[in-house]
Amino acid sequence: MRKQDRLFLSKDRKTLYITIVICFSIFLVSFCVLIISFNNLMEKHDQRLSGEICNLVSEKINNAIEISNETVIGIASVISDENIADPQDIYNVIKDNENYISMGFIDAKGNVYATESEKEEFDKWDLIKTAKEANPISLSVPYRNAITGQLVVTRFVVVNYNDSKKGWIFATSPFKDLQNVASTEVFSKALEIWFMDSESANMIYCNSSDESLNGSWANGFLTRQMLDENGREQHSQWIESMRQGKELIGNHYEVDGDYYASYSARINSMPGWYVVVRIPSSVLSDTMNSFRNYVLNFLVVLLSIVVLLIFVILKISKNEKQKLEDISKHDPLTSLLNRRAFEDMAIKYINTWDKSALIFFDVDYFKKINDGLGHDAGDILLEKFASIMQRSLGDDAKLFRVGGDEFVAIIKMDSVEAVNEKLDRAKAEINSIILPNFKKSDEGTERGVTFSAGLAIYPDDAEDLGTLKRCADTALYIIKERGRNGYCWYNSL
Amino acid sequence: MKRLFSFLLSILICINLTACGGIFVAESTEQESVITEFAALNDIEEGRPNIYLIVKVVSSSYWQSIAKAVKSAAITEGCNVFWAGTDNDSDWKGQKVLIEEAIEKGADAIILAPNDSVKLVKSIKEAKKQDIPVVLVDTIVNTDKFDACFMTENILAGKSAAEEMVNQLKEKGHTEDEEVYIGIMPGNSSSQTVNERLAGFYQYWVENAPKKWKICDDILEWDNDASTGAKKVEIFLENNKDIVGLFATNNGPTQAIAKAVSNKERKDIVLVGFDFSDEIKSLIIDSDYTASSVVQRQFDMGYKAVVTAKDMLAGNTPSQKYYDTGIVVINNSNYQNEDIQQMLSYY
Repeated sequence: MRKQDRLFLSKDRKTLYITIVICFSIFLVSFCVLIISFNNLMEKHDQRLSGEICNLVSEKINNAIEISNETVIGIASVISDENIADPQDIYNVIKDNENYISMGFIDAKGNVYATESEKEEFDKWDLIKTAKEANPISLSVPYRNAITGQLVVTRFVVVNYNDSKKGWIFATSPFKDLQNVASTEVFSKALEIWFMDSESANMIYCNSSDESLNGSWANGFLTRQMLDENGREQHSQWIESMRQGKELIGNHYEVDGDYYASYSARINSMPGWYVVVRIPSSVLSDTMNSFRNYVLNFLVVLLSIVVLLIFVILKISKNEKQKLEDISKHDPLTSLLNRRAFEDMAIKYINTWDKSALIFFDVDYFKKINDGLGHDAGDILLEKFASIMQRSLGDDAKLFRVGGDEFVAIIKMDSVEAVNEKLDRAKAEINSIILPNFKKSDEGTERGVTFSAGLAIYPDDAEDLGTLKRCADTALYIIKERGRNGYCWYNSL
Repeated sequence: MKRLFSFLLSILICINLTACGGIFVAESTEQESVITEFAALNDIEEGRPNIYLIVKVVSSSYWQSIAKAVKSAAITEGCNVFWAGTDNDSDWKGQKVLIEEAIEKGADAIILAPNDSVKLVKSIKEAKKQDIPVVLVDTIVNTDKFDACFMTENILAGKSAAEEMVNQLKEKGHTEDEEVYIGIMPGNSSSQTVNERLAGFYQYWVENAPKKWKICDDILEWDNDASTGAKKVEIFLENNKDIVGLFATNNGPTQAIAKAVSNKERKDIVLVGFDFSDEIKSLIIDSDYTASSVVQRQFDMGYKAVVTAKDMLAGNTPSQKYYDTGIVVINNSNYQNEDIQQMLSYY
């Protein structure tokens, strides 16, 4: 029955372990699924959002260009209304406008009214050609201005003078003004903005993660080199869409595993030119990643606490179980193992050694002692008896109290003589216990305590516990028959 | 049981660490700064203004020729010039130290070829705070706190290169109806100079080259070493039989394309490069080849920088901040011209 209990307990524990492992595995799988789903959601969200951000920023810049254009168009409109006859007078009116690096006039014959260095720049950068593209306004490609040394753009607006002669006023302003419009607080390091010529794929940075690139040139064909086959194809389609003059072009691609969203918005006053805004979706992901990590960390910490709690609870439960088991297997009087323990552990102990002996003991006339001297005296005697026996039999023996005055020992069987020696030593010591006011019989005078023992050898006398017990019991019976106070080996019968 | 729980806990800790995300320590790629001591470039005389010239790479022949120009101007203008520099053209920290040193030594003016257009702005402002005129050569910075800058307008230089390519291809007999391709070999694509030259080249090409003349999509990668670069060019030519012209954006790639064309004796190919190395020179001289090179006027940069600095010390303000010193396109037909020969003598 008890073996079945143990088996049941062991099965129970195994089931517990399996349950824990299954639960934990389910948690891990769920955790992974959570991370993957979270990442996918974030990726889709970031891709959509980065596209929208690019779209908004490109619109913002285009609007800023339009607003700046309107100002120059307004000046041109006022001049046209004045119908000034002499181009020099027009130049005199506008040349000192403090809102621009410089302002000037180009008459119908292409004569430029400006400073000498500006006139040189007109030749160098073929600005007359840009002026003639004005309808009603055109914007030059950014170039480096001699007066300031900085990049500038020049706007040209058609004006009518001297009774419907067609001329152009021009206003030069820093390219930085456009860069300032482009820069944003939130994504200043991640948002890349550039102006791009669809024909040559030349691009000039307005805002870049690398500050030193701001205002510098690059070429789209070079950047295409970094893309894979698919990316190059997409890049070509993108350039082609710009060349076809589409107003707004969205583009998404990957470079070295980084996903980019870009939007190109046509600049109406710069034919062929687009403002391109690009953002890696990882910028948004980085923000969301922190949030995701907080959530995941919280879950992991929570689970760690749960695991720790389960561990502590199981540990406490195990200790309590151990205590109960100790109580149930020990005799409270002598602290020896009891009958239950003997039943559970006898086989194990017998098999500990190649050869062992099973000894049944009892205290002679114990009932009389109990009746005569009282139970307390009987208990004291039993304690003493157990202690002497334990000491005499030594470490190679296991002693059990299986009944009132009944004891069992399993002892390593080096030789019969060795066991006899131990028993004789015990006998001598126990015989020396004198119980006052106690006689074993009415006639006798003997007062010393005695015990009887029956011994059987495993596996010589029996190979199973049941038979061995019977053999030892028989030997005990015989010694009692022979007058007690001694021991008897079953094999000597 | 304990083992099971230890295992579970370690897994949780691992998950936690993974969830937290790794922290990557970026390995520093910046080279150690190696700068030279300021050395007198001409005879030092008491009572003359002391001008400090800080160049990019002291050992480079390009910067030595600028130093030669500065020396020549210093003798004419009556200035003392001390010069120093770094050993690589990205060492802005070294130049920062040199600017501080020049201020400390009591420089009357500084001529600087900046190694970085953003990171040296603070040092330039510091010099200006001390009322020291700062004149830039070769490269401009992202501020207007300098007094003057003498450099090549690289976009225009790129345009000139493209114009030369178109002209030479026409000279070679290629017609506008013929479908031809040219190859491009840029140097360091992160260099502003290279990018501006490329931008100029592309801009001119799309506006002026016949529509059937195209730039090959495959852009040649540059290896820094002319011999390895030449091997790449040879393979490129082998794989692209319809290439009729090659353009290189600066000295190294120009050496590579010249070497490759010379090795393979590809006299049918038009070469346009930059600067004046022995490799491109030998092809320009040889009339069997069609080679041209865009050469900067670095002598003018150095010379005019000293004149401007001296002028400023006399209390004058330059009428403008930015001066394009211009370029010259050298080819077989103008190589022997006197002005070209004189310009090349400064190399």
